[in-house]
Order: sequence, then structure tokens, then C-alpha cells
Amino acid sequence: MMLLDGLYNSWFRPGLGRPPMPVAIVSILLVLTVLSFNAAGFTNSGAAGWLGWFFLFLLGGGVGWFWLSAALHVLAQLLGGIGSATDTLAAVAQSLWPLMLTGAANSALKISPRLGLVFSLGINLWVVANLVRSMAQEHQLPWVRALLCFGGAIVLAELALVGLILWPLMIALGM
Amino acid sequence: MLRQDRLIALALIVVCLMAALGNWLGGVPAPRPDPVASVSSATADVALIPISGVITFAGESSPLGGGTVVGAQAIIRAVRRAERDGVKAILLNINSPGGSAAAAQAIFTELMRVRRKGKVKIVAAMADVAASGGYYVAAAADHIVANPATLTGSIGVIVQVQNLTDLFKKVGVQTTTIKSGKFKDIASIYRQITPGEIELLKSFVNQSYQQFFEAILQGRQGKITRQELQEVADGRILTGAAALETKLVDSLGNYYDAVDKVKELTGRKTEPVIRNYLTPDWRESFQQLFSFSLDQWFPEQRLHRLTYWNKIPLALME
Repeated sequence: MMLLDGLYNSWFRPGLGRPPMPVAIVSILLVLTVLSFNAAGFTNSGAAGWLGWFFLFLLGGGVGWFWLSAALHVLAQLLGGIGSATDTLAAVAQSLWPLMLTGAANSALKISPRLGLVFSLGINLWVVANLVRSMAQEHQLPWVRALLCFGGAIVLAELALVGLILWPLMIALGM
Repeated sequence: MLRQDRLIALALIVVCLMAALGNWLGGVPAPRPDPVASVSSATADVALIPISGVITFAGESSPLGGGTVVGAQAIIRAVRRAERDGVKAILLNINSPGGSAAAAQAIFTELMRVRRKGKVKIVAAMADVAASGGYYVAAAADHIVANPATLTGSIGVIVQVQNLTDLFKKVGVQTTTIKSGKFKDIASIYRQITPGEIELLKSFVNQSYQQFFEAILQGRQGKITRQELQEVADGRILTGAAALETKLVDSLGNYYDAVDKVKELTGRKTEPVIRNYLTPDWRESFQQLFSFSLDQWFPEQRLHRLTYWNKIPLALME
């Protein structure tokens, strides 16, 4: 019951503060489960394939979480934010929960592609709004700066991703 | 009784998990476009199948593109997919010096099966080279277009056996062979070939050649006679222009002339929508990605690396 309360508050009353650790873990696991089910369905994978996707997303999600948080934190500090790195990591983790709804969005795609796309777009906008709001809250930033922080962080994170791909290529081709 | 907020949280979790589970068990949503190519399979009316490099059964392809070995399995799968999608024609873009007889034969047989049904026209466009196994595959086409300078022909079968005993003697390598039958180590590089083995290999070469010869006659029925084919099927290489004279190809031109031929054979007046059927679909790409190895991404590097680390001269690798 406490867990359900925690999840509800974390999802719909984020202003109450950071959720307890077990709630955050369950929330993240739910998102990972839904995303890996979607991917396994998309690739027509069996149980082993689903498990593979789950662990891949666990790994990829961890790396992505770190990159996005690092980029957001650097920019928040530059724009006058006062939160700690832990605050940023928590803010990002807490903001991603609407991704859990992608299972329903993918199902909606089967019924009506337009409905599914609108649903997916809505989920993405919800995540962005969550990120901007939680950055503003954790770092005590005005919402315009928090929005700038998010835009810049996306650019930085993408650049980091390009570097992540190019590095191994440089090493493989150059050696 | 559950409180309303707890009920909402629980319902949300159940709905999301059930929907995602349904996505998994239900597979790919139907309305999504096929990400194999820029056009969907329903709209493509010509299947392009590039056959580049040495033809073998296994083949090698890189998720980054390229590769010097083309796989018969992949080509046969592409032909089947094209047939299933109901394309009007298959356009083979051949740039191959040949390869394994069995692999070329398997592709030829598959193409002939489709051609015999009469629903799909097959046109082959030859690029730099379409010799030996490359020509074997082209022979299954309704029409063959070659560039005047394309290197083609080389109709024949070859087996080469090396005897490296003198070299091994110099470097102090001794080999002991234990075998279950006298021909088990046929074509061994560790000893002189025996007359019995030569006879056996000759018989193998003749049989393979006869199959190759008959396949060309079958593919080019009504275009070349047995007598005419015998005159050029002695292993000689020919330019595209000479191949036209000897009736091994039907016309001279480039890839776009081959596309025009496709239009003519299928009775199309507008430009056909061409889709590359050899591009691995996204599931295969994912499989390749997850079975990551540098050899797979850069197939040409394997031989270099192997010879470098093992200090093996290239001659021994052939």
C-alpha cells in the first residue's frame, strides 16, 4: 500500500519531493519492463529476447541517464542552478515515468496509427515537461532557464552520443 | 477498500503492463511501414538483387555495408521475399568473378524456378565482371545486359591443388596424416597428388562442368545452340561486346538500360519503383548488431589480421 502511495505521489504529486528509494526503483523497473516488452514485440523476440532487451535497456538506460543528467547538471550550474548532482540524477529519474505509457501507445498504434502517434507525442511532451519542471524545482531556476537547460542538455547529450560511437570506430579503424 | 489514489496507481500499472505484454505477444503492429527500404514492399514492383563479390553459401555482410563475399542463402531469401511480395520483375546487378559451384547453382535453380512460373521477369545487368559463377547466375535471366567492356564468360570449373612439401621441408615442418580412406586427404598440400586422385578430381570437374553447361543451355534456351555454346564454353573470358556476338548476352548497355528492359518486359510505361531486396531487414540488422564482432563489421580485415598474427603467407590461405 505504501508502495502504491509512493508511486502515485511520485507520478502525480511531484511537488511533494523526492520519492523514497524503493518507490524510485519500482518505477524505473516498471518503465524498463514496458519498454523491453515493446521492443520484444517489435522484433518478434521470444522470452530470451525480451530478457536480452530488458538488460540492454537497463544498461543503455543507465548510461543515458548518466549522460543526460551530466549535461543537464552542467548547464543548470552555468545558468545559476543551486541543486547538487544527486538532485539532478533524481530529477531525471523521476521525470521519465510517463514512458511507462508507451505500451498503451503502441497498442493504440494497432487500432489507429494517428491515435498512436498523438499518444506517443503526448508521452514525449509529458517527459519533457516533467524534466523542465523538476529541473526548475531542484535547481531553483525560472522555467525559461530550465527550458534552456533542457534544450542545451539534449544537444550536449547528442554530441556525447556521437563521440561514444566515433571513439570505438576511431580505435578500430586507426589501429 | 482501496483508496482512490492507490486504485489509480494500481490500475495504471496493470494497464501499462498488460498493454506492453500484449505488444510483445501480438508482435509487430501491422500499420507500421516496413523499415527494410524507403518504399514499402507493397509499392515496389522491381526487386533489385545486387550480386557483388565472390559467391559462396555463407557470405559475409557488414552492418556498415560492403563486404567482398556474397551469400547464396541471402540471395535465395531475397528472391523468395520478392516473389512473395508479388514484384513484377527481378533485376540482378551482377559484379562477380564467380565462386563456389554449388552456391551459384543454388541461385540459378531458384531464379529458374521463379522464371518458369512466368509471373516475374528476370533481367541481369553485368557491371565490371560477371564471369564463371557470375555468368552461371546471369544465365537464369530472361534478358542479360552487359557493358561492352564487361569481363564475362569463363564458363568452366577449376580445381587447383598445391604441393608445398619442399617449402615445409625447408622450414622443418613435418606432418603425419591418419585417414580412414585413401581419398580422405585428397588435395592435401603435404604430399604429391596421386594418379587416382587426379582421376577423381577430373571426374568431379567434368560433372560440375556438365551441370554448368546444361544450366546455361537451359537458361538461354532458344537464344544459343549447344554447338554455339560448346565453342565458347572452354573457360575463355570475353568482353561484353564479344559475348553479344557469341550470344552469351542479349544486349549491350548499362544498369539504366537494364531498367528500361525491365519496363519493356513488364509492359510498364512509367518508371518502376525499385527496391533493394538484399538489404538485411531490421531484424537481421539487429541480430548482426548483437552478434558484434570486428570481423563482421570489417570483413576485409579478417584475412589481414589472421595472416599478420599467425605469420602465415597469403599463398597458404588460398
